[in-house]
Amino acid sequence: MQSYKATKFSVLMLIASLIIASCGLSTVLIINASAKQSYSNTNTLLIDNVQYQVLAENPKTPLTKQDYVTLRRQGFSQLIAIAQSSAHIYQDDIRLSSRRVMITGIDTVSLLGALNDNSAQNSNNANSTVNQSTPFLGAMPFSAPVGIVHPSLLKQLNDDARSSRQVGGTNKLSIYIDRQSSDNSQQGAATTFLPDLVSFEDPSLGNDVITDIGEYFRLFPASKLSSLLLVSDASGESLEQLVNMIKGYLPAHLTLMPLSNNNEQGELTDSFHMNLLAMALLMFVVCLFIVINAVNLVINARMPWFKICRQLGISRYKIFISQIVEISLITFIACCLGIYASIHLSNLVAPSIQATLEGLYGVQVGYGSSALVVLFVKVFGISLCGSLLATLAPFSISNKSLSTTKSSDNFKQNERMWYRTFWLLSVGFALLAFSILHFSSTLWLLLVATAVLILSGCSLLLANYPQVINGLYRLIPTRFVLLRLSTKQSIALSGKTKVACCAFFIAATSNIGMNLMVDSFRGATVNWLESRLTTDYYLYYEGKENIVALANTADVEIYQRFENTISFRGQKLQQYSYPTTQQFKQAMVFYQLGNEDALWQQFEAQEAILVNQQFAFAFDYSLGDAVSMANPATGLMQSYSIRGIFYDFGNPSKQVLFPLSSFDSAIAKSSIYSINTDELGLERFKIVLAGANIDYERSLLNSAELLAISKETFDRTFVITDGLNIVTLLVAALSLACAIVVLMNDVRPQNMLIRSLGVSAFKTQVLALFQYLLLCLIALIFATPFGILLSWVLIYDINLTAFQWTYPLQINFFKIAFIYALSLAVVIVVICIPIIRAGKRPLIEDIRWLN
Amino acid sequence: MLTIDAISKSYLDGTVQQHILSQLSFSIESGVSVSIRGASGSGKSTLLHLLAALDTPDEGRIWFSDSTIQASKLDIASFSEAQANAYRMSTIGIVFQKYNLIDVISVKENIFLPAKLNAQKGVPLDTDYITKLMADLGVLKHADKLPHQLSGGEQQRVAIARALAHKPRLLLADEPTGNLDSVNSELVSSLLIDTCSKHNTTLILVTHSEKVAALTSQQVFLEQGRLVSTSG
Repeated sequence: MQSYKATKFSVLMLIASLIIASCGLSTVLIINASAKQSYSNTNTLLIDNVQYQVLAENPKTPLTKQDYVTLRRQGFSQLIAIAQSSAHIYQDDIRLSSRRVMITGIDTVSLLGALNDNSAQNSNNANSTVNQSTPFLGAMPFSAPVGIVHPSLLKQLNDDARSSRQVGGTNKLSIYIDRQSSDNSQQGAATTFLPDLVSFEDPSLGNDVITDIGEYFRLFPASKLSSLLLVSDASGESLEQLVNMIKGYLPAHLTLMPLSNNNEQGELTDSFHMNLLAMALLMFVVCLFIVINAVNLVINARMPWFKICRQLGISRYKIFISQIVEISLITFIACCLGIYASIHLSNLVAPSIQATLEGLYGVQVGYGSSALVVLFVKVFGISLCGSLLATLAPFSISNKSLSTTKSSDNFKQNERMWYRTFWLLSVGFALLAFSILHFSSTLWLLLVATAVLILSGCSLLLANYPQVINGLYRLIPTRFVLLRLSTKQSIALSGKTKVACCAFFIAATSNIGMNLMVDSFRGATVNWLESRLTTDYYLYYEGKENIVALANTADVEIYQRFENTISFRGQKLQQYSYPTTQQFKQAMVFYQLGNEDALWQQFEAQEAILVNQQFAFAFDYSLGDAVSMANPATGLMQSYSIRGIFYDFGNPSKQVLFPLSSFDSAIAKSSIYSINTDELGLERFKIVLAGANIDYERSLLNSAELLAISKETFDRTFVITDGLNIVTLLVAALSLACAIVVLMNDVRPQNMLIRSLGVSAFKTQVLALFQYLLLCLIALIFATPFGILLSWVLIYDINLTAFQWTYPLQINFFKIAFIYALSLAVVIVVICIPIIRAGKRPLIEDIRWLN
Repeated sequence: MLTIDAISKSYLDGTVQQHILSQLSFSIESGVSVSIRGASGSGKSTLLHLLAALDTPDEGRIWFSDSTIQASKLDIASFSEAQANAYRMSTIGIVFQKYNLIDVISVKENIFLPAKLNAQKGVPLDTDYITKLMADLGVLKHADKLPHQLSGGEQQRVAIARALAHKPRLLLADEPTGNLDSVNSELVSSLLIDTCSKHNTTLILVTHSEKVAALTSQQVFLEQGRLVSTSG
């Protein structure tokens, strides 16, 4: 404890870095756990034992209430109806929460019956088993309709309601049905109030309101059933028998599908979780670099005491063990604090995570909640291993110095061996990374390859620091005496700050790589959007009115997008129409295409199709390949030639484009209409829409508005990545600052000498800053090609494997220059403090300390 | 050249005020070599630091005059930071007990460092003089070596060459042979005194050794921060 007085800064740094590391790791684990749980429960809706669901084969012939009644009458009481719609929530005409809420109706009475039947077979105490397996039923009184929501969502709605409540307004929450809902029957109808909301703690509840199906149809009278869940404890052969029996009785327009088959976004969310975890681990590793430096500081300060202990006969082993026990205790305290902070942090960032996942994959994500003990064991285990590893190096050095009476710096003797080792490591890591990238297409292995690639860069940097600085030294004119001296001193410094330089290099490489990737994605998406959003206006409408006829009445040019969803090789496939006017031909953004003129001719003749990258990469199709699939109008199998592969960023689904003539306009579904018109035409169209009771204020958007919304969504999506990048950079700079504090004692004699030669304290501070900035600048220069390589791997390997789309890598030198400036600025801010502190110390103190 | 006029210096050691120098007064003529002796804690090094403008006295004045630099006398005790820096850079040279050579540059670069710093201020760089100085001190053959490749005696000779490279009017040496064996100690001390004499540089040498002190033209003896005797 006495030593803590002398090493306050180091111990605080040690605890802070361990808190940051454990907090970051723990936050990501909580987010990942709740997101995964939420995603896996999206289809099962908090109900256990659901493995299959009944769905409509084709949206033209949906699942009806009559189908449900018929199936239950045939004895399939295990089938439970659910219906879902999304809507905004309002209070007194003011929208609360910018995000839509998914309102789900479940046939709770039938569900209770099905669960009782299941549990009756397994146990005598049926009711308690029901409540254990489906606890939300306990929160749902049957006397009055209620909506079950997550406490965080309820709090958010209540907060929004309080801030938006008008004088004399109601306390009731209401919904309006708008364009993304499948139900338009309420346009212009009276306000529909939601039932009382009851909070229920379950991580899979994100932006969901779960209510009884009766209440749901009061809210959405014209809505259709979404699916029938098969709730059964049966497994193995008995489940197979039940499934076969249901299949036998199912009408032709319905299909029984395992839930996992419908879970096509699982791979996408997995990749997101892996990305988050990779970023968190990166931050964790960089934090451990701080731990190394902080432990170094502590040991330096305690070395005289250790020597006294040794003189008193205490063995090196005992000193070592006492230090390890101390580090373990510090890690334990830091983990407790880190996990406590992470629980709050995960709830704080939940809206951003939800927005990201919704933006990327269209999945709803719950609020953070995780088993504390499991979380603690995981985080403490990883942190303890990390901190012990990070402290091993400084302790082994201290052990060596305790074993000899003479302290010696072995660096010079081992210099050449070190550089040779770094070269070998660099080549070895590079070969390993390229082998993995060349031979593997497994996501986690590709992520390992990127880590190995960064390590290769790290080794290359350390192997070349002296040569690069020497080269620079030769370039500096001899008249700049102090600058040359400082540059020379940087070589020695690079050998002593290896760990901190590595941390900075890793942070800089990942920063450059991630930024170039995001920038390329942003650039490609904006170009793609600007090109694809070719018409003046877009109308989102899913109702029954004939929009094309209305547009003709208003004399505006309109293009309807027909939509059809089919099952292709067991996966959902979107079949959309695409107009073939010159305007739309020019608007298409191809990843690959053959002869363009022939392409459009064959496309119009319904011989060729255009497919998105997701379709081509998922099923391994390339240009010219023939593919057999159902005709959108007739449903009959037909062979098409793939003549173009187009970019379709952000779409998790596979998509195929057909000409308008391929669809039957009488039955095809449409939700988007493209409109070309001038201001006058627009006014005419609005009048016509208003006449048909269509709320154009919300559903008619011009291309600029749409582009702005898309860009906003995009930026929101990458806010977490940007945040983690900055944190990593900051942590790396802190690591550097820590190293500087360690080295300040090393450079004290030389700084003292320079000051005694009449050089001002300010100049010595500037020179010290120059030395560290030089090291950082060289690290940045080395990080640039590796950052570019990293973004290349992310775009062409990892992105392709995870999302099945790719885009051109755009190397923006202004962006790289900005990262240079930002990184150096962060370094200046962080290392300024120890340097200024050292500079402010009177020269006489340094002289006395030295003597 | 130097007139030390009733200077006092004390430090706060915990809660106790330690008086290091008390009303110390004496003068040093230009071009002489002066040794300062005394027991540990007698204030030898503190006096040297005050003369080097590395520290300031609590009271008293230290007058420096040199007609070749400036007509009027300068009070070192009241120097500003910038004046102290300029004084250390151009007028004095310091030799420390622990050599303080810069490891990353060669012997030659170490020696040329103060002269080059002065050259930046417009003082011509006298390469011939420095080369001769290196030869006189026997370090010319080590010019391209790094400091750690030299012995302790050789390193201290390099430190002396560095301190004299910019032709200072005053050389302050704080126990320069404290880390050397007796043979090397005498060798380096006599070399230091001879070289200063040859270049007409005033030398103030702090030492414990009576033998070394005997080589100087003026000897000052301090006891508990007071002047006990001055001779020569």
